[in-house]
Amino acid sequence: MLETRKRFHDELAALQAEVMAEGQLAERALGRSIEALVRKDKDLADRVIAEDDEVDDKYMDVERRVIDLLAMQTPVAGDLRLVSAIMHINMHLERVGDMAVNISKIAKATRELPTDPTVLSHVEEMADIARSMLLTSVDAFARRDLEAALALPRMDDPIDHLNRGMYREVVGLARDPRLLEWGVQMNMVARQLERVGDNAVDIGEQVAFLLTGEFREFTDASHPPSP
Amino acid sequence: MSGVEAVRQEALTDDLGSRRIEVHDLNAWFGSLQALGDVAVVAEPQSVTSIIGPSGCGKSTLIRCINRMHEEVLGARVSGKVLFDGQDIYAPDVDPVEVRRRIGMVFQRANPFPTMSVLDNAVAGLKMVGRLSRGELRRRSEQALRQAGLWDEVKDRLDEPGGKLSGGQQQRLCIARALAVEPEVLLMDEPASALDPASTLRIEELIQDLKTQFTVVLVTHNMQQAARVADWTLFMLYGQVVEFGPTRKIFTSPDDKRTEDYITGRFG
Amino acid sequence: MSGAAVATAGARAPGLSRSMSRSRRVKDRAFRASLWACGFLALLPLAFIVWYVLVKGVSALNLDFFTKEPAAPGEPGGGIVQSFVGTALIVGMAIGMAVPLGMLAAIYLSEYGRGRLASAVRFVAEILLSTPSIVAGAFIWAVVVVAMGTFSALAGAIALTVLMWPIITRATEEILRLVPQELREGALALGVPRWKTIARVVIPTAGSGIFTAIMLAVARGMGETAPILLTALGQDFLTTNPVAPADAVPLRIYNYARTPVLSQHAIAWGGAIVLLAAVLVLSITARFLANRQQRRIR
Repeated sequence: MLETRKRFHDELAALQAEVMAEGQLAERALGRSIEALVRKDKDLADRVIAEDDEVDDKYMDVERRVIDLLAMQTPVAGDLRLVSAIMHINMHLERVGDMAVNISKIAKATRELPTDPTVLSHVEEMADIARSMLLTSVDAFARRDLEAALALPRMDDPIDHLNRGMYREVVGLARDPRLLEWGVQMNMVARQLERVGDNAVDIGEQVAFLLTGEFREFTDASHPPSP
Repeated sequence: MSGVEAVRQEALTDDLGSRRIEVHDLNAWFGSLQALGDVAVVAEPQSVTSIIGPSGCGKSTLIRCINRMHEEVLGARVSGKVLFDGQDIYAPDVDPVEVRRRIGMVFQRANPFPTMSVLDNAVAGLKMVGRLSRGELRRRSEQALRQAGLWDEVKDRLDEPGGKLSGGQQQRLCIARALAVEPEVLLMDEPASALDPASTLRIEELIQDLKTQFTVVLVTHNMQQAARVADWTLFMLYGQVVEFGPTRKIFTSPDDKRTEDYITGRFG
Repeated sequence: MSGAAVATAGARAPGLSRSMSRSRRVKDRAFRASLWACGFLALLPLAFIVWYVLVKGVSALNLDFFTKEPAAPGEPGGGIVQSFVGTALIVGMAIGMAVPLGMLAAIYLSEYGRGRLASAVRFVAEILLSTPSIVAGAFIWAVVVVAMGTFSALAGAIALTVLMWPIITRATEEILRLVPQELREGALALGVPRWKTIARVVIPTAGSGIFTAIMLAVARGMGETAPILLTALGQDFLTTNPVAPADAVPLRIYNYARTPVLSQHAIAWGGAIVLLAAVLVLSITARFLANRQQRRIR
């Protein structure tokens, strides 16, 4: 049987692959930005900032191709939900890339400042969870795994918890003005990581919509959406 | 079938309810060839119900069973019920001619009567069946032509033969002709499929206007048209109902895989 | 001369391909010329007849010819007014009977008839179309003339009806079938009963086509001699009585052609001119209307 709409399906598959690649780039940038922060590595930070261009290029490419697809192929039903998911996930991943850039800039700016080991370890912990959430969300999209997508809000709890605790810990660094300055910057890093977590949850929402046809906000981990 | 039940439970019983069409257990044959199998569907008043499906799935046969045109074909046979105004139109004491006056039809290719002028075409149904004065006929003709969105284009050409209009105009003339006899239901069998895109969109606009007054059932092979125009969509395959539901649902997350395959174009 | 040779010839040089097609053009012209010749030859008999009849009979055409009864044999003058009146009477009555019969049969066959009765009607019409007209005449003589005890214009009309109605039926049925089915459906879908659909939509659309059918039948009826001979007998005096013997133009031609009287020969030729002219006019008009009808139905 001759497959109808082959070009359309090939393009859908290509866009999906592009988004997956973008996800990998974003996750890698995130990891490297934290590494640059912890090891005070200026060159690594610069690399992350420079390589964000690649993420942006992919973002604009996917964006343009999605618009073309909507105009010329008028996707419906499952195809439409997939195109919508691709478009939104694309946007979230580009934001994650920007967050990695922000963290790298902060890494460069705090290179000369003293550090506090507790705060730093919490930042690393938050970063690990954020990266894990990002990978889970993108993987859930690739494998069309609803359960994995639904698990994301729960994974977000520790980040929120650590983020809220971060403020009190930084206040405790007031004894040293330079340490305090570093602490405030770390607070901003924490906020960036918390937003990475939110973006991963949003990606999970898109996956759920793709699979169920219902769009629900994963507002609260204690009220998970029914599948 | 569950789609029909859901609709019935939601349905309002008001005097508009008399304009509802309910099809139950409808089977239809051309001689020994079965064209429809156990079809059930509901068309609500003041809404557009579209029927989609591949060629030969029975869309036209179904719509022609609703106004008892199917039986005009030699050897054609029908079983089942079609309820209109609470009555089964296939009951033995029901006159098919009366059914057709109340359930109007517009065909795929515009078929204005060539020996009649534009004005006469519009009121042909009234002229041939009743006794109305010339003044009354003229008034009704203008009313119908206005309803069909054709009046402004033909008001200076009312005495020209019906066949002299453009394709899109001829089709709107046929719509006016169907409207002039003041039916309660309007059946449209691919009304725009022989027209250019601009005329097609005008007809679609017209359908949106008409649905405020009538129950409209629209057969179309253009899925995008169904998506644009219809409130409810019925998908048929090999003479049977596959899925029936709100258009929005059918086109964003249909229940049946066959429906999904057809509307996304994966259908072989 | 293979296709390949021609293709390469064309690709190489235009001059060469021209010489190849010249022989084809010659053949083409020769073929067309021979077709023209055949067409011309086919026209010759009709042209000859028309010319000959004109030459022989034009001398007989005067006012008396059309208004007076025959003179005694040998005497000059006189005319065949009773033949014209008789033809009008007989063919007129025949139209009155054949048209309703033929049209109703055609409507039945086209709009209603599907079963055995329809096939039977069609079969009978076909048979009658090819029945020798003298057989029809003999039949009506046996049935009508004998029963009435007299020859009559009416019997002649009945004999012509037998010959005319199948023509009307066949031609009308064809015309009705040409009316697109979608017009009938359009009317039915408005809630118009079937018989009104036929009367107000189908027949008016068929329109001049039906008139054509009638004209063809009349052209046939006007020219028949054998059945008139056996049923109307002939008449020398002007009469409009339908139940008395009547004359007809073809019958008069037949009788006058066999006499030794030369003046009657001339009158016969004159009658032939009138008959020929009438048949030609009817046939050409019928053809012209049919063409216009075809264009109108689309």
